[in-house]
Amino acid sequence: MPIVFVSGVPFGGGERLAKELARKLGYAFLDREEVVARANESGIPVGKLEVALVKKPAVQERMVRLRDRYLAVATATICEKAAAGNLVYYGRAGHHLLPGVGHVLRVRVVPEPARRLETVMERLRLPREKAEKFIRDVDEDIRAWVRFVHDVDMEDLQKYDLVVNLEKLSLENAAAALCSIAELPDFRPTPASQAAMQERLLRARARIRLALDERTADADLTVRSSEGVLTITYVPRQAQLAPLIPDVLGDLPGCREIRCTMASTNILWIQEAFRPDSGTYREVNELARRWGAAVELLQYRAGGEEGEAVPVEVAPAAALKAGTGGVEDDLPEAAAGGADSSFERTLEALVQEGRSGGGHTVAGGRDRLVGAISRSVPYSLVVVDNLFLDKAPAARTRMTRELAMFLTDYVKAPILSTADLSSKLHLGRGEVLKAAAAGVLVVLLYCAIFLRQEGLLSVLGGEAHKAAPWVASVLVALLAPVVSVLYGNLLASAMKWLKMD
Amino acid sequence: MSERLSVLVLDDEPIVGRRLAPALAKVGCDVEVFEAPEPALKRIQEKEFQIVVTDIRMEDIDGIEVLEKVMALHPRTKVIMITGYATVEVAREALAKGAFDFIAKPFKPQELRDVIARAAESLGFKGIHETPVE
Repeated sequence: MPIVFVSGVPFGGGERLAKELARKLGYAFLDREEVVARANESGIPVGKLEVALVKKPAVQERMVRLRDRYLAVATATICEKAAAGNLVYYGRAGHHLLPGVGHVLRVRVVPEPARRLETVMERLRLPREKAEKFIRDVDEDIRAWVRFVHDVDMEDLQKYDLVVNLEKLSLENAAAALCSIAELPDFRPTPASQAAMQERLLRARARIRLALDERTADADLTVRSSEGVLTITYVPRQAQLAPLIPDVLGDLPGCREIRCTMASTNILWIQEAFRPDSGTYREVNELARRWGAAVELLQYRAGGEEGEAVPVEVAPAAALKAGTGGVEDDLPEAAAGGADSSFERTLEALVQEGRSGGGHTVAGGRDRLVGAISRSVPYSLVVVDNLFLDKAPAARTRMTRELAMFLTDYVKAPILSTADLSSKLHLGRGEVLKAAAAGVLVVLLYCAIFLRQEGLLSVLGGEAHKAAPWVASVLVALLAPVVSVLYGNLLASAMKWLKMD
Repeated sequence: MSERLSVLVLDDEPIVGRRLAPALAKVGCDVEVFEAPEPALKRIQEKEFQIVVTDIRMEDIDGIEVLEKVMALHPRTKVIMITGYATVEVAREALAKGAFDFIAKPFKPQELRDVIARAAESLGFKGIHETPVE
């Protein structure tokens, strides 16, 4: 029988419908509250995520790691309970936790507005105006939650198998109708759907173990699995974790084998001043997302006082620690407002995105810079910009170019400035025009060739060729490079437009 | 208006008061700490605090009820809710009932000090420091 996911809004009747359905079907019932309680018991403060949605949408970006931990706990809780038998789950959009699992019935409950308003007024003891505002705000918060947590629009009805509108339908009758639908063969488990659920469970359990073990809690690890084989990918700066990972995941149920691999795609970003809200951050982050790469930050001050590279650490993800009552220690004064807080914020933003390859600061000559770059790390790209900020613009450009040329030999990877990176990632107006012109010329050329086939064949091997055989050679020598250049330009622009690197 | 800001902290976990009292005293607050709602409400009846910081999940009387009682007695008092079990529903309910702000645990004392500084400013109180003064 399927796992029935009932999604609804607070005070909208969805929870009562889900409970009634579970009772009628004789299934176990699980709701979001229980999942959140388990996450809290595990030390994952889901409340931080919830309040971030109410207060500061911008804070969400810094909550990605916390979100992933919550998702792992939610997935594991649902899969474990569903594996033990049939299940009805009530939540906001829980079915998105099990993509690829076929035996899932996805139900959306639309409340009866007047009844919902009365319920809010009565249960929360709120006057009508405040109750109306409460409903508007909570609905917007939950839409934002689903967007942030599952990256989907909860109003998109294509994501559900069934929408139940409680305006006319009573809860009892809606539950009776859902009972019949839940028993349809379309939603029955198959060996493939059961296996898909087991894979989800294995990955979720592995993520929880790694998140809760203090040795790996703040590491940037990617977890994949296939047929019981777990593959954990770590960034080069965390290579020392490789031997610990099998230890942490040792006796994980359902795991046949553990493989640890280092991320093979890494981007080194060298600048003097970093900002997480800058265009360069967005460009580098976008590229890292496409490549699945880790981004290593290196803050380089050419004119600064000579010093060895200093690693910069980021505060760990929020976690409920026993014995503190939820009141953490204050930050030391220096850390609270240091001169390099924008560098730390950039690093933190990457950590929360799960794409941090670490961060260092270094000052002095080129030897200091070179000393801070590890040759054992397989860099795929180096981004160099915003250096020598105390120099005049012309000198800054020249010195940055010289440094880039020097690094090309040392790192053996392409070196790009921010402007180069932007032009490589995005189609500019000039490029669009160039691609359009190339397209038109290619079409004209092919039209000319196919419309004048007889004459062309004559030149290449017919009467005309007999009279002047050298003309064919000249024609091929001239046309082949022209066509390849035009075609190449066109394809390069098309690939960039399709975001294929 | 007094030089220091009067703050009542209510949380059934004694460690919360022990950690928050010195952290708030450093920025110019006179802090009274309570671990049970009844004596805290009794004290609120006796004295109008400028700020009340209360946990939400407590036995007998929850923080929302404390908020309602404070708002009924002293509408000018700024109530800041703190909880380890925050949800958007509870946060919105608290804000609808007049809470000044809502903080999810775990938090750093500075986060609370920032909210208290804003609350003090809205009360027209100028004596609060944004960062601790030793």
